[in-house]
Amino acid sequence: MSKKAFSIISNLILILFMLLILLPLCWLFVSAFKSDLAVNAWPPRFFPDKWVSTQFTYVWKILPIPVMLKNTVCFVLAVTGISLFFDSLSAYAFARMEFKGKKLLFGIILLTMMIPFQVVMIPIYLEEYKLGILNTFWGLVLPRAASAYGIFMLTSFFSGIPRSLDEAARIDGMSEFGIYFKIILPLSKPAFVTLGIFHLMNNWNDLLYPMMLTCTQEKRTLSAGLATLVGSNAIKYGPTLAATVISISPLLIIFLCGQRFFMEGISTSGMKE
Amino acid sequence: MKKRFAGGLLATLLTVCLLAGCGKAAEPAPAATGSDDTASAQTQTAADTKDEAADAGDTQTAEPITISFWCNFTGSDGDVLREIVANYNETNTDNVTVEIDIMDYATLQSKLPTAISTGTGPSFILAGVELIKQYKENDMILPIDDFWDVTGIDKSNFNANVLEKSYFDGTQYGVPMQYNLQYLYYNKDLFAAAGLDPEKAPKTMDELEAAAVACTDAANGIYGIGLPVNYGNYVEYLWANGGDVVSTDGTQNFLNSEENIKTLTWMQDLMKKGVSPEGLDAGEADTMFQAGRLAMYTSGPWNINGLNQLGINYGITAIPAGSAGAFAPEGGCSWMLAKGADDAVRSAAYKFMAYWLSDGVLKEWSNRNGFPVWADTVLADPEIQANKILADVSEASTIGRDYHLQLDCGSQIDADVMQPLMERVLRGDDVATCLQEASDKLDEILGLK
Amino acid sequence: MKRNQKLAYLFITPSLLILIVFVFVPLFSAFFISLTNMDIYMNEYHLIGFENYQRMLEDSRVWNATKNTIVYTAIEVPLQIFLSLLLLFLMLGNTRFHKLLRTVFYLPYVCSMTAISIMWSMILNKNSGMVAYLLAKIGIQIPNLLATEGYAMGTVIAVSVWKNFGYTLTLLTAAALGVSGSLYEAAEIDGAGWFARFLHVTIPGIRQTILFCLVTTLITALQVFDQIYVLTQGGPLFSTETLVGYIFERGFRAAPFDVGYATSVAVYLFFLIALLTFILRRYTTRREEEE
Repeated sequence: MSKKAFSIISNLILILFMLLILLPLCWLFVSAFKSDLAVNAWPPRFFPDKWVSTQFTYVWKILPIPVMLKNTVCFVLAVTGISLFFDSLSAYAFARMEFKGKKLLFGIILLTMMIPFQVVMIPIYLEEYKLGILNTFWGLVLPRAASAYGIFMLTSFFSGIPRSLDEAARIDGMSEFGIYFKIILPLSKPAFVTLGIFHLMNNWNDLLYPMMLTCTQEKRTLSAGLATLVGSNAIKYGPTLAATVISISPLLIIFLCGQRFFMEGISTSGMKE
Repeated sequence: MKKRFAGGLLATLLTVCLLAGCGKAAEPAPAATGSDDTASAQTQTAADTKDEAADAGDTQTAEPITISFWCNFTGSDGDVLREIVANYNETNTDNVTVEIDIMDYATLQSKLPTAISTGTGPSFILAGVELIKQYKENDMILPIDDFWDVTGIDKSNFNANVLEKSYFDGTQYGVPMQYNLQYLYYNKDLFAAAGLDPEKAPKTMDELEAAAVACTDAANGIYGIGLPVNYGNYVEYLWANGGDVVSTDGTQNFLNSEENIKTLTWMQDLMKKGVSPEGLDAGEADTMFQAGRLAMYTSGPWNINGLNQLGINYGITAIPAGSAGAFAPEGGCSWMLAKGADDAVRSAAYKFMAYWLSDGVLKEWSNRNGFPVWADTVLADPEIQANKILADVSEASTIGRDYHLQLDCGSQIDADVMQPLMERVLRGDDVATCLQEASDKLDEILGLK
Repeated sequence: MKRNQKLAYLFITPSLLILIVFVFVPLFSAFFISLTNMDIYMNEYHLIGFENYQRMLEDSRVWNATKNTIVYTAIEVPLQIFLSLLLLFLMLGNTRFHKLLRTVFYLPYVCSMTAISIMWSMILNKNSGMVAYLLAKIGIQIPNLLATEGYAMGTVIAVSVWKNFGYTLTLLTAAALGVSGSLYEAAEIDGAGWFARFLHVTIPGIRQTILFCLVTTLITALQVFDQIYVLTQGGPLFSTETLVGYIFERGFRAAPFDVGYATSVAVYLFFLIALLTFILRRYTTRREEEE
């Protein structure tokens, strides 16, 4: 196949996929501006006949959105920051240091990824209650302050960094902390950005976890708070759409603003040997 | 060194594990400590009140107190509830602040018991009356026998059948908040368009069928009736023809009967006529009725507020009668006092519950949400009497019947027996086989095998 | 060496401590709970040995849920990885358009699964959604995708892939762009075509990352819950009920709120995940050693 034909066909397929992604998301965003009647109207229309913001004012009225937003931002930033630090420390040990029980410990850490949250939900609740951190900021942050996924990912990334670099430094007498801070960390910026975004997203979007560990609306995160709108008895589709948009918008904005940094970070994170 | 490390690790692990896992078993009263922790602020206020009362006997306004309750009013009725609570917070002279926390049913169910037993739960609860038995037996709620005496509210003003649902073994555990049945909603515009009299709602199952067929216009996406696969109250159709599901005490299984075969075959035939969308979901049925695409469907009164806001031209009537009469499953919600409430919390909660029972609030609740009126003084109110929808609802509310309200396994019967049964019947499986299998499952749940 | 060892333990201590307190302790409590008849009210429970596990053997819903979980995983995981590889192949040129697309493809992954599921449940709704309406307009009648046995699982899988493929694509892209250009040049000199180069240079170059993606998506897929809870609630007729869904249903959604039993199902799921991951890793690492 000639290069040109390949490029045309591939671009056509890619555009198709792009539409498949963008159209539903567009629908979601414009539908949040429909009136109650228009949301349910038949035949369905893509765009609202009349753009209204009543759904947003409704959601704003019944939920303490600014407080929840503040909670979410604090929770997510704390978790991401602490967890990146702890994960990378462990990952460094697993990738670069030799110690007894390394394989076993790594296996155990991997094992923790396999536990569905529903299994440990009630024990965690009781434990936090005993420790007296239930319904507090630290009660939300601590269980997430280290993540098996992060350790797993960073270990495989650190293993990809040529050993020759730090061995040279070791011969020069640099300490392990020095190697970690001065050699590994700067080289791993892209991996940190990637993992940081994962942590940011997962914790921002998490629902059951913050819902279980908070007891009052004032402590709840955005996603969990907005989920209280969606009930089994009756769903109000209009506000649900608006709530959905409110909950995903901040993250989308952050991502779109930082996407150049993020994507470039990822594309240079490939390990060259 | 290593061994010691590992050993220490294991020991710590086991200790904490035992603490967390078996703490409840080993230590019978964590709730007491719990309520101490969380209610410390409240106890503090109570102590302050005493001090102050001692200092200055002439203080009129009480110390501020905040009480909270949980419920699952996620529909449009929740909006009205929020307004009433906000109104109470602004106007009450007792310095009581009520916080409302609405969450979906599954979250509420999974959180509430743990929260109450650790003392981190709400001060009081708004929940379905069918939960009173479970909550009482599991020590989650407190008796409130002194409610009428303390508040001085005249008990005889309220319908006895509503009140009795808040009692268990002769002890009062709840203050009724609302009472409801299932109703038949119908769209008057669609009735008129199909050439039917919009003021003449179907009274029997035959009329229901005729109207459903007449109103169906599948080409334009309009259906005569909504028969959702996960609707929880199909028992009303079974009752109408003399059938039943389970005895109220849970000792007898009535599912596999000739009457039920007849009723379900009728529903299946109705489905085959294409009068209902296939694979319909209950929430979807609400939406389609709101969009004017369903001529009829059955539901509780909680959709009335939403329909009024949308300006739909609809009517509401009793569940149609079959050969044995017309019946509808009862439901209702009550205010209950959560375990761990001290005297200050109890007194504040009573004040709010009493506020709820005042004529003005009951009237607003019924007027705006269409819930039937169950207080005599409110019933006599001219504004209530002038409300056409409400008059229809109240008229349609005389056919209530108990459907597994007193059974712990009620929700399991709905989820594991009735929903699969209706899903299969509505999609066209053999009725007799489905009933047999559902009946076996019901035997298993009731422990009758 | 000894000093180094101590240091290594120091490095892993914070993470390990947190994982022990907030993962292992609750997990062991869960094992304990699974041996009791505890319900959600946690009153008067006692040890009943392995009764819950015996009950599981006779519970057809457990086996149905196991089957559904495995079907979901066996289709979703390969599909997600395959789609990512296909798009990766189409975007190897790394033009500006491709860079833009990578951002676009990542968007669904940024959103929460609940949000995405609510959106799709409204769009795919047979009776009021856009898709059925537009297709009917051009004469195509589709079945009720979320409420027909046989289609519901496929739809759930499609929505999951739609949401998640950006994750694998991003990781694979990062790895692929790191594959040295000289390897491609060598292959080109050998006369290898586009596809051959992708197959023989790119894929081996990113094998480690593919493996990582496989393991993590496998673990996530076996715990599938959010999208099913919103889209089908396990229906129609339990045909999309997965293990986590069943745990939730038994423990928290319907009477008798049998937490002990639900937890024993969860323990079983935990071992299932561990076993499958172990097999996958064993299989892939052995192949690595052979090479």
